[in-house]
This record gives sequence, structure tokens and C-alpha cells, in this order.
Amino acid sequence: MLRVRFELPRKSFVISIDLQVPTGKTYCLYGPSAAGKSSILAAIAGFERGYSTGYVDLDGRVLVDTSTQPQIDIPVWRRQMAYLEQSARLFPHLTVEQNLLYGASHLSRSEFVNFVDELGLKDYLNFHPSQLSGGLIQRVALGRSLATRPAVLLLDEPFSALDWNSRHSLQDLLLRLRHRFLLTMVLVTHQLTEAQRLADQIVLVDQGQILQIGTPTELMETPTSWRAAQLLGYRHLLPASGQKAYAIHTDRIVLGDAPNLGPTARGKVAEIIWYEGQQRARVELNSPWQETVEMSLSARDNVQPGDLLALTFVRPPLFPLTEEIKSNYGTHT
Amino acid sequence: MRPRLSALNTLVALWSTLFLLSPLGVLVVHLSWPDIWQVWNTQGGQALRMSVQTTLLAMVIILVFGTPLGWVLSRGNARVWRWLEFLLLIPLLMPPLVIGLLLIYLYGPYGVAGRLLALGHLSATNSLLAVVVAQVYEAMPYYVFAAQGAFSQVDQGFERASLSLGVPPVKTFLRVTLPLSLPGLTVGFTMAFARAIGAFGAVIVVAYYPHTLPVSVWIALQEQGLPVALPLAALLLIISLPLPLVAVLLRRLHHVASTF
Repeated sequence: MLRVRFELPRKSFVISIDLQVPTGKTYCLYGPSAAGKSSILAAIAGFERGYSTGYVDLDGRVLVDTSTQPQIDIPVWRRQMAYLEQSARLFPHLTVEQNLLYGASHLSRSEFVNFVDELGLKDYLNFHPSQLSGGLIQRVALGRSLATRPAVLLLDEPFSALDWNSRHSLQDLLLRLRHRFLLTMVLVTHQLTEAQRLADQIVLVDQGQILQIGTPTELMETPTSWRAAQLLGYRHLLPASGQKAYAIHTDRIVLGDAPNLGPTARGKVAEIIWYEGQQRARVELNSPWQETVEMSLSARDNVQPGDLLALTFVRPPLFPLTEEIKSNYGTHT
Repeated sequence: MRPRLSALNTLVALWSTLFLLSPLGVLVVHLSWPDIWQVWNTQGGQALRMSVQTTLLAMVIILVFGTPLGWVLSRGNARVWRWLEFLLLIPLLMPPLVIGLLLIYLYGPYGVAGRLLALGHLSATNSLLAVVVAQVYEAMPYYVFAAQGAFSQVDQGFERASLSLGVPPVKTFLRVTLPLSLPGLTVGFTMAFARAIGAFGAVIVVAYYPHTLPVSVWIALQEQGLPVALPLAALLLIISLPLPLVAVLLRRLHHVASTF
């Protein structure tokens, strides 16, 4: 179990974190850019030391404790945490094999051969980093980190600079290796799909604070605030009774009347747009809402601009319509 | 750029190059191998051996003390290092003759350092030690600033990666930082070597004896004239130029190779 608790003053806000990651679990710190996610990860790794108060322990071994005298602060190289940044930083003067073995002199030859097979790097061992593609570079960097058998793997947006195919293939590899090595991972990402794909628990981070922690399903089903809902992709608010509003998610609208799933509506398709390989319909809702919403379409949905549709909003979360929400969302609510 | 302007630029560049390299042409016109061989067998060989000997000692000192200094100037976050960097420009910019005069005051028989050396029966005037001290003062700033530049060019992300892989700082320095900064360090080292072996201004003030090669060139010029001084000067060039030139060439070739 990794326990992390610290306050880290930044220029515009204070990062305040209290997190427990059970062994073998993957936690994704997900949130907008400049929310403090990378600083949190760097502080866990031991590279960021500007915390005012802090406590980190790994399986009962205290790594940081600012409350003791003298303070405990185990240096980076003794924390058993591998830290992988967006830029892989393979050592350019070493071959792939030398990079993989850099911190892993304990690996026997047979262990190394099996490990290299698993990573799919057998044919690249004598290459230098400058001869590799971006996807292979990250694959080697991931392997280099895992070869040291870290107790915790810290990943700071490791795949964000890669193309879609490389990203997916590395995510698959990570999922495979995670089970094989029973990895405890903390992953920073600003891509919701990546967080949903890899995380046991998603930690929503905004302005240095944890807004909510939950499984991908829990978060999508029950965001606890409108800000959390926004970070999860809820884009619209539709007024409900009693000064409340439904939060509407593009992927949580289905065609047809299904009142058992949630509130229903009628509307007219204004246009069809493409978004990340999927079609979406922009629908102008009839009264009482008079609002335009976007809904994802499945491949079998044959919808054209001008079509009249019946829609069902699947279990939309309800939020009190506070002044803050009104001012953030706009005047039309 | 307009063609006429570009042609003019090229012309000026070629003329400047010719201007800078033309003194070397003198060697071709006025010098022959037998001349060099002759001075080698007379005063040249001894002076050259002295120069190489003192320069090697000076370079060891420069390496041992200059490398950590270059490192902290590059990586030290405290403001004091920025001030120190600024102050270190003074020895770099100071005329060698002035360095020599100040060294007499510091390392001479009545200077603070000179008295301390005397306790160990050492003298830093007119001795091998005096030459080494003067060479260190003349050449070390060149190496320190080159080392600072070389270390600054190493992306600290590599060091972070190494530390997070469980490799402690000293090993990280030896296995990552040093190899990556080696091309820059090598160029700095060879530049400092050329500077040390050619050190004259400070050396002649603190150590007229034992004669180093640059001092011998000066004495030959004073006492025997140009025809004797020139082969000695050529000897100095032969010993001081190849190392930095090869280092720069290798660095360029390495850069070209890593670009493709």
C-alpha cells in the first residue's frame, strides 16, 4: 500500500493530496492541464521537495515524514519507485540492451531474454535510441523501468506524444505487464479514455485538490459535483424541477423513448459531426428545454440532418443549480 | 539575400579566413624540417620536455579541481553560484602578464602562499612548481567554463531517469552525465591544454627558469633572432595544436554521425 499525504504550495494554489493506493492497483490522476498532477507524481517520486507538510509510506516503510525531528526524506534512488516521464529519456549513448539493463544488473540472462520477448524488443537490442520510433522508445523506457522491479511505477503522461496506434499498443502492453508483475501504478494523464482504460480508480484532480476518487464506472454514473462532471465529459445542463439540473453526457444519450433509463426528450438533428472516429449528432431539443445537445451515434444509427428524434438521457446526475454553476455554464440554464 | 550582397559576404568571409590563416603561410615559406630537427637537438628538446611535463601536471590539477567547479556552476541553484560564475570571469579576462605579477606577490618568498610552501621546502618562483602554478592560473578558467557549458547541455531528465532507476548520484554522474558531457569536456580540456602549454605572460614573470618552450622562443628571439626563434615556435605549434584540432574534428564528426 502506498500512502501519500502532503501540501505543496504552488504559485496560484496549494496542492493538497491525501491518497492511498493498494498494492497491485492502478490509480490515474486525471484532470485538466496545470492542475498539479505532475507535481504530485514528482513529489511521490522524490524529485519535488517543496512540500510544506508531507508524509509518504510504502508498505509501512516511511519515505517522507515532515512531522518527525529530524524529518524523514528518503532519496529518490532508494524509494524503489520507477518514474517515467512523457519524454522517455533513453540514454542516447547506450544501446537498447544497455538501457534495459541500466538499473537491473540483478537480472539473469534467461530472465532478461524472457523479459525482452515479453516487451517485443528482441530485434532491437543492438539499436541506439536515435534509431527507434517514438512508440519503441517508450516501450524500451517502460521496460527499463520495469526491469528494476520497482515497488511502484509512476507514469507521467508517458504515451501522450504518441500516435493512436502506438498509444493503444503500449496501453495493451502495460495492462498485460501490470497483471504479470502485480504492479502498483500511479499514472498521470489528461486523456479520459486512457484513464478509463488503465485505471482501477480514477483520481479527479483540479486546482491541486482531489475532487473525487472512484472506478471509471462510479465516476461516470455518479459525479459528485458539476466540476467533476465537466472533467468527465458532461457538457450540458438541462433544468429539472426544484432548482436542479440534469448533467448530460454525449455518450449517455440513446435513441428512442426509454423512461426507465432516465428522462426523455424530442428534438431535431441540426447536423452530423465527426469526433475521434465516431459520429455525433447535434440535436436541437424541443420544449421545455430549447437546448442543443450533442449525442454520440453508434454505427447502426442511421440519422440525418433534419430528422426528428426521440431521445433518452441515461441516468443523468442531478445537481443543485447554484449561482456558481449558472455563472460558469451560462445564462441559458 | 540578394545575389550581389551574398557574393560580397562570401568575398569578405574568404578574405577574413585568409587574413587569419596567412601567418601560418610563413612557416611554409621560412621553415624546413631540418631547422626544426636542429633546434630539437639543441635548446628545443629540453624546453619542450619541460613544457610537456609541467603542462601534464597542470592539466591533472585543472581536471581534478575544474571539473567539480564546472559542475556546481552548471547545476548549483543557489544565487551564490551565479555570483561566483561572474567573479570567475576575472581570471579568464585578466592579462597573463598581470596574473604573473600578482602570483609573485602571492606565491613569492614573501607572499602568503609562498611562505606556506616554504614550510614544505617548496618554492613557487623559478621552479617547476612555479611554471605549473602559472599554467594552472592561465588555463583553468578556460576548462571551467567549457565544463560548465558541457554539463549544462546534458538534459537533467537523463539524470532524473537514472536516479529513479535506483542508481545513486555518483554512479549516475559516471554512467550518464560524464559520457554525455564528454565531447564538451574534451574540447574544453584540449583548449586548456593548448593555453597551458603556450602559457607565456604569467610564466615568464614567475619562472624564467626552468625554460619552457614559450620562454625559450622569447629568449631565442631576444638573443639569436628570428631564424632561431621560428623553428622553436613551430615546435610549440606542433605540440599544442593537434590535440584541440582533433578534439573539435571528432566532435563535429560525431555530431554529423548522430544527425543521420
